[in-house]
Amino acid sequence: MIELKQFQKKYKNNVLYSPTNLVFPKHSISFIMGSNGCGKTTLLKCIAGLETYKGSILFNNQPLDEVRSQCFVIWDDTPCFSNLTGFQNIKILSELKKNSEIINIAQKYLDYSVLKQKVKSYSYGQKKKLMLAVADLLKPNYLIMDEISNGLDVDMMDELAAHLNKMKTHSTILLTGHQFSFYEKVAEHIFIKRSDNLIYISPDMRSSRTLEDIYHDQTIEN
Amino acid sequence: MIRQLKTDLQYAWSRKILLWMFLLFIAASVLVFFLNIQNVKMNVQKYQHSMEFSQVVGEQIEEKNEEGYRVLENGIIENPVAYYNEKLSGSIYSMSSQYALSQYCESSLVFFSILAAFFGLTWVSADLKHKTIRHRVLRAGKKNSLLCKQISGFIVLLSVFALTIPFVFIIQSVFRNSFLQSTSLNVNDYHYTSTITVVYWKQIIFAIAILLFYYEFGYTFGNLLKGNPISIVVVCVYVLFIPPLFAYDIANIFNNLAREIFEFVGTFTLNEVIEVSIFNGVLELAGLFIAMIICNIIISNTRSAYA
Repeated sequence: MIELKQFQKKYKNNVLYSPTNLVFPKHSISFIMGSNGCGKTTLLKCIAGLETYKGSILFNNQPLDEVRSQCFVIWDDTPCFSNLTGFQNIKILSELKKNSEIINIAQKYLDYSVLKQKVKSYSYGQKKKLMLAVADLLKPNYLIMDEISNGLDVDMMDELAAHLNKMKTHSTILLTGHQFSFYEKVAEHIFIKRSDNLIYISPDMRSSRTLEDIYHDQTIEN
Repeated sequence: MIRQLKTDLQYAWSRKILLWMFLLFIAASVLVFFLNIQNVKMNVQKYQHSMEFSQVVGEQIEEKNEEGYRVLENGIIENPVAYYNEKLSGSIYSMSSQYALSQYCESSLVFFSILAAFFGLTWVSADLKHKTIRHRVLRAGKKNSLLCKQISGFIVLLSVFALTIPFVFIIQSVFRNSFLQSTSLNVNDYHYTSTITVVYWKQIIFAIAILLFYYEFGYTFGNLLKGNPISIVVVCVYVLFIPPLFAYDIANIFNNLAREIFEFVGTFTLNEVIEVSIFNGVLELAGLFIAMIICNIIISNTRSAYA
């Protein structure tokens, strides 16, 4: 699990998150939704240790420094070395997994001919698939994906949904995004960013409503 | 940390950085030894002119060579025959295989500083440009990420330096043989006596010190200015065009050290050197080096790694 304890984040005088205590349960898929610019990605940056914040973020009661090798984040803009091939990127980002293992797993996501091309020629969706291949190789215990469904084709989204459901048996997965039709299929725990709070939508609150309904209700209340 | 180091070196390999840096160092060596041969040819000409003039005025060349020479304050040379004989002897010696390593390490004062700063800038810029610094910092933490990046850069640079050394001898040999085949000069008639005790490991350490210092300079300013190549321009202008400004000027300190270690009879000569305590100079260089590392630590700790 990932636990926020008295987590606060502000930029100068702008409070993004007031003191927050929250748990993203382990071996499950948590989904954070909110409007554009509300701070979802900022939360992920803090969880990943890329930004400073107040309070603490614990991974199964351990600080990030002790679990770094168990974490991986797929960012929306998919940072990778555009001047290297897909294969070379996977090799480096997976921290030098064996070539045979890379080829075996990466070809589930991208054709070998595409893997041999430089990433600068890749589409947005292909880069996302590249990152998914890296995640599949690293098998992190804490997997965070920022707007992962963006750019993926329908087949890939179905595969991703199936894959996430398999991965959650050994991982804590945290997702953000806007394509509710996809996240509906996979999310078990829903959180919504409303003003400077991150609110957990309990199963009672969720009942049989769609994510879109919940989103509209919560944002209207705001 | 070892894992991160290996990953960085894998990047250097995949991106062919090792190859490109190797080629740049080889290109610099080719230029150095080419200029060295031009220097020899120039000294041959000047010596021949001085001999011809002596013969015209009825002087004996052997006697003039034994007399010694003086260079006056206004630049006039008393007994140019002896002066150019010594110059020529020195430059012929600089063509020998014994001098190849020294010549290569001497060139560190000019070329290594530029190449190392360029490499430092490019090395730090890669992760900033591609935003892969996010992956690094997540997986390794800020401290280890910075440490590994610095160390892997050192390893690449030192590897390139070491790999180039055998080729330096080959390049010098090619130029030497080319010159000897084109001249009627009997090089065995010219003998050079070293003015200092040549210690090769000191010369290698000096060259490595230049590499590391300017690598850190390029790295620091690249990190500070997020990959802006201004640091390369600064280094090029400073190294190539600006004479030492004061005693504890970085270039002057390196020149003071170089004067103790190198003979400078080849392509490069030392111009004005302002006397400075070697101990204090080394202390200053070490202090600046540490200051640059601290600067990188501060940047790493305060700047968002989200890039």
